[in-house]
Amino acid sequence: MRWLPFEYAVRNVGRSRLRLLASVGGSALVVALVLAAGGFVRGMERSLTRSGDDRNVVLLGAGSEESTERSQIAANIPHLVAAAVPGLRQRLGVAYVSPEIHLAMLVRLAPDDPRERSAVLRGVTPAAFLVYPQVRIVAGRPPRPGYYELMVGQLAATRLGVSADQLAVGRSLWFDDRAWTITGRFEAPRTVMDAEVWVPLSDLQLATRRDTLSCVVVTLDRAEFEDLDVFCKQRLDLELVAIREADYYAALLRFYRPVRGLVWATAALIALGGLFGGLNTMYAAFAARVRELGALQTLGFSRTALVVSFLQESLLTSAAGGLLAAVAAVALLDGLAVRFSMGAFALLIDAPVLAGGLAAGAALAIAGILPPLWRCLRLPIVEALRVS
Amino acid sequence: MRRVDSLVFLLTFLGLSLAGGCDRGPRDASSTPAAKPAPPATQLPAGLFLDAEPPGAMNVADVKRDPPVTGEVVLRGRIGGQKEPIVAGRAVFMIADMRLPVCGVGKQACCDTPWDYCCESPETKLANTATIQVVDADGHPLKVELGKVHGLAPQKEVVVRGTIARRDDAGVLIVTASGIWIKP
Repeated sequence: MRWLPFEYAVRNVGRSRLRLLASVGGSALVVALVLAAGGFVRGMERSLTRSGDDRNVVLLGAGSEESTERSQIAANIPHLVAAAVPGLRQRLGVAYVSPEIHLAMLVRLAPDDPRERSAVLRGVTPAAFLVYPQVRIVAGRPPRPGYYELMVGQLAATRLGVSADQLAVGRSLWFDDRAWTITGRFEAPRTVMDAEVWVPLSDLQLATRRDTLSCVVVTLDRAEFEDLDVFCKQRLDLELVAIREADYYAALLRFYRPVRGLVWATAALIALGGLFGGLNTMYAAFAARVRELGALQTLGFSRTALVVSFLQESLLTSAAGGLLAAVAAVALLDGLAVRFSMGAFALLIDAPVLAGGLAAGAALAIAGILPPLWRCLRLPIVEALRVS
Repeated sequence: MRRVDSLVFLLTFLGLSLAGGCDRGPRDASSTPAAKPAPPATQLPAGLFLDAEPPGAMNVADVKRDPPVTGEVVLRGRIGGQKEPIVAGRAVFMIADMRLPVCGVGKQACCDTPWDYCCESPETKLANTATIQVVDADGHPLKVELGKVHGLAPQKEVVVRGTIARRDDAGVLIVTASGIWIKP
């Protein structure tokens, strides 16, 4: 079989600059949309999966396994667990047992600020830095109990919908009718903690007028998860359940599956719209090339060779648009913070997302050219040559 | 002569010291460093699962309220009390009083796990649930997956013969089982 040379497809791509620009631009937009959707889904997945450590176990109230914010457990449970369950991780005699309060609270930037913003607060003790080694203080210092101090995560500003300098060290947040000084900023990349506000546990208990905890997070050493499960099932009076931290966030990821599905569905619908619009353009473009197709067939090139050549044209255009979209996505979208109910996360444009976006562009290029091409090639050669 | 006596004394002293230090006999337990506790046994005791129902079974709530003086007890219950009432990898499970109907039976349905009694108040659950364990000689729960053995599963009716390992006014009741009968 004789094939059309690749240069033929390349020269045809540049035949009409206006059409080339439109095709490349359209392809770039569709691929950019797919990359944005993929980056959103991957960023959310990464945030929730990296938030869970395989060695951490969360003890929370029975019946509240789906949300630590709904859980309430007695304040003496950390001591009971540390005493009753041997084999928890320790460093210099300090057990990796972190009592915590998790809640969403409305805060203001100033006492006269008319707008209240929802912040995710976590009441912690210094043990939190043991059980969460991925948390690092990047500015300032940890807050001290009794001084109405707190520290914010790197994405806390995104969560609150304010600029980063409004949450700089030395500024304040207002809640419980008082100012809380920001003494530090921490990072916990690609985890939900990155968007949180950390407050000394005792101060948060006072502010919220509660003497209970939301949960206790422990890190295993020689102990196994089953040892904590046994503890919870033996001490029925404490009304506790044990769940691996990784499993807790995996369940949250499943909870957000409809959101991810909706994002993909939206991207697919818009891509389909782009496809049908492209089809319309392609039909018009091929109508002007029917005689060219007939002439090539009289020269001995088979329909298969023509299909391959026109696919090369379409894929070249799509690849150009896809590359532009990939560069723009990496430059503008990767790391972009997005708010959601649990806090905030950063879009993630990594290799799988890029591959998926480029593959989607290629698939649309193929799907967009085959119907009009087939319509033109169906004509007998004599009729094709007669078309004016 | 005095020099000879001193020499004999010195040699005797040295000899006795060397004899004591060179003793290679087995060490007694008091001189060994603290031994690591033996890992729990992974085999269930023979005859744990009974072919016939033990007589004299009592309800969970009754035993919690008024335990037998001897500590020996035969307990009837339904496996449940939490979403996962059987500990994976340990011979420990929870049972609830048979008189407490599971959720969905004449009351609010409770998702996919009616045996967790989430439709009941915490006080009711505490008063009607107990913990059953099978332990080794050191009192540690055996590392056995009971859920895969002899059809032990949530909502199964069981009768457990054993001794009360712990009971207190806070609502804890832990029974160390010596025999388990599962209703077919």
